[in-house]
Amino acid sequence: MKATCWMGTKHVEVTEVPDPQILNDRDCIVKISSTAICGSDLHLYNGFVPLMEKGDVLGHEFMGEVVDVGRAVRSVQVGNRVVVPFPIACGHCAACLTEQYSLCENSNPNAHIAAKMMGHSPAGIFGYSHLTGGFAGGQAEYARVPFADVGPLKVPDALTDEQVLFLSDILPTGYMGAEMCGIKPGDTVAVWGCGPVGLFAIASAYLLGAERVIAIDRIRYRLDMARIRTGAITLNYDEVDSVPDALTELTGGRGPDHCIDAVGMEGHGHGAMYAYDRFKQMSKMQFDRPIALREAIMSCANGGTVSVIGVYAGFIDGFPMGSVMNRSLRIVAGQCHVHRYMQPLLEHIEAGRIDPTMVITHRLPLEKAALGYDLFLNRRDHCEKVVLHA
Amino acid sequence: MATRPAGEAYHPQFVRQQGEGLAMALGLFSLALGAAQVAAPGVMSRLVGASPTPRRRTTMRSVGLRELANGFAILTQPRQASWLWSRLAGDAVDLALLARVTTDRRNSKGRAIAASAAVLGVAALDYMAANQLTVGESARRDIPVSDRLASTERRVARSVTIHKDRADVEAAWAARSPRPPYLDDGATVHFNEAPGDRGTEVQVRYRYRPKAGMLGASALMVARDDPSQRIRDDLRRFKQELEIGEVLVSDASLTRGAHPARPHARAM
Repeated sequence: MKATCWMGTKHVEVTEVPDPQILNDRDCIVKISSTAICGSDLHLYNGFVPLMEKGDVLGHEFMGEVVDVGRAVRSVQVGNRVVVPFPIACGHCAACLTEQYSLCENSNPNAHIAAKMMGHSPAGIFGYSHLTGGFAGGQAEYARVPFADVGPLKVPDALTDEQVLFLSDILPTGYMGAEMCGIKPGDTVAVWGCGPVGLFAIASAYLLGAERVIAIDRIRYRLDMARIRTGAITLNYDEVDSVPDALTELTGGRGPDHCIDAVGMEGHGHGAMYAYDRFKQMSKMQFDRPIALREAIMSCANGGTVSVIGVYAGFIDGFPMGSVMNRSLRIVAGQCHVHRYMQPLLEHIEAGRIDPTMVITHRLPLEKAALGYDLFLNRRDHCEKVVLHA
Repeated sequence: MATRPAGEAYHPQFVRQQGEGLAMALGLFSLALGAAQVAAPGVMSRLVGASPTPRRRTTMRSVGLRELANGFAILTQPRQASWLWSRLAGDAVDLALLARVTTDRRNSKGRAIAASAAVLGVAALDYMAANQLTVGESARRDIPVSDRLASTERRVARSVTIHKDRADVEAAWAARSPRPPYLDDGATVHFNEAPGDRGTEVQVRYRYRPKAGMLGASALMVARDDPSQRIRDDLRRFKQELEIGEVLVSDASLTRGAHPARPHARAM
């Protein structure tokens, strides 16, 4: 089958690889109809995530038709149309039983490596380095999906692929980012990053009762998308001296009640702090550039919440812990527990309360994945989200 | 029978472990420094501000031999604390030698002073490490003889929590076939109810004496043949077998060694 393989920094190729097989009794094999490139794939593309190997199959946002099932699979059958969540969850450990699916205790065969780097291991993930298990990903024609009874969501034929594909990752991620804030009616929320996850976080914040949402980015077309598609107020950080100051003025001197970091480890900024972060990253002294996170903390109103859904890999420097501790800030973070949100969000989609297709700007055949990465990374052609079709 | 809750800190060992880490660093440093002093005594003399007369070179080589011996001893011998105190004594000798260098007007005072400062810094670390290891050893004196470890013997404990009732877990453990090999090497297994309905804690305790002291133990860890790693991997497998009925494999974990995360050919 054809699959998008990581070949090195800024180098992906669609090549022939063997078809996947059933390896565990609870597996199923999905013939993929649509798949997408995620913002977090760009961290892999740019070489910032450790433990990648040449030839790894990428991709963790995918859906399609079940074509084979293992002996112990009960609730999906051959022929079902399913969307597959990106974290792999067994359904029977303490984490899964408390709906913390991205913390599954049994789904990372390389748990010992992740535990050394992070303290304990989170769940395995499709196509996201050997740190999360070394599973082949879904930017391919077929994928082997472990724990078929737990993950894949059956979706109605009445909805198109593009309407449901993002239930695999970015829509629940944006939603969880907003939900973690604990939004009360009348609250103001600020969102860093107008990529697809940021847009879904904004839309979710309104859905959850926010009165005003401020979207922060520097790319004109993305700010326009935020304003037009979600109704957010926009803030271009290239046009202000200080984002915290600007946010303070937009909120009567208080600051936003909640701040969502939908940017993560490849933050961009200006000035000395950004130069410092880039230097440390290049000299391998620091994995991540927490520009947006620092700003979110400094901007947040006293007693507010900073919700982190942007992906980080390792350690950061210059973290304003004094601001957090002295002002009663709450920091909540996590890889999305997708399984928890898929059904409720499907209902929102069916009822028309949210339209996930609003982020799609490019549709390409799978063979053109390398072009897709380039468009997405460099924001060419007003690219917001690339969907690859089989 | 009272069993210790899983994870109770081996507190007397904790201080010792810190000392061991520092000791390893100092041992390696001694080896590196000693090698340089023996191989290039002229360069090293100039580095500390002394002109490299033949007599100075000989002195430098002797110092280097002493460093090498110390470094080697720290890394491979039991009773590390004594070797670290010995290293500290060597630092005192070095300081005396450097003092002689500064008084001789022919030499570069600045470099000698800088070198003395460096030696003082390392001496402080020697003192810390020697202390930590000595504390670890004296704490051991309170432990009954039967529990006392020989110097390079390492004590390992690894735990896992399984979301099943204790009776089921103990029965499943007893029924394991083949028996985990470390049980035949003197490891013991202990079970406890986990607090708050989390299931059962399983802890394996194991002692082993790595060959070639600390260097040997570190090499094992790098090669992932470290007993603690094997026990942990085995416990994770046991947990999966109980909770989900099988051990999950990934495309990359199917084979030992580096393998890209992609499906294997049908030959599997």
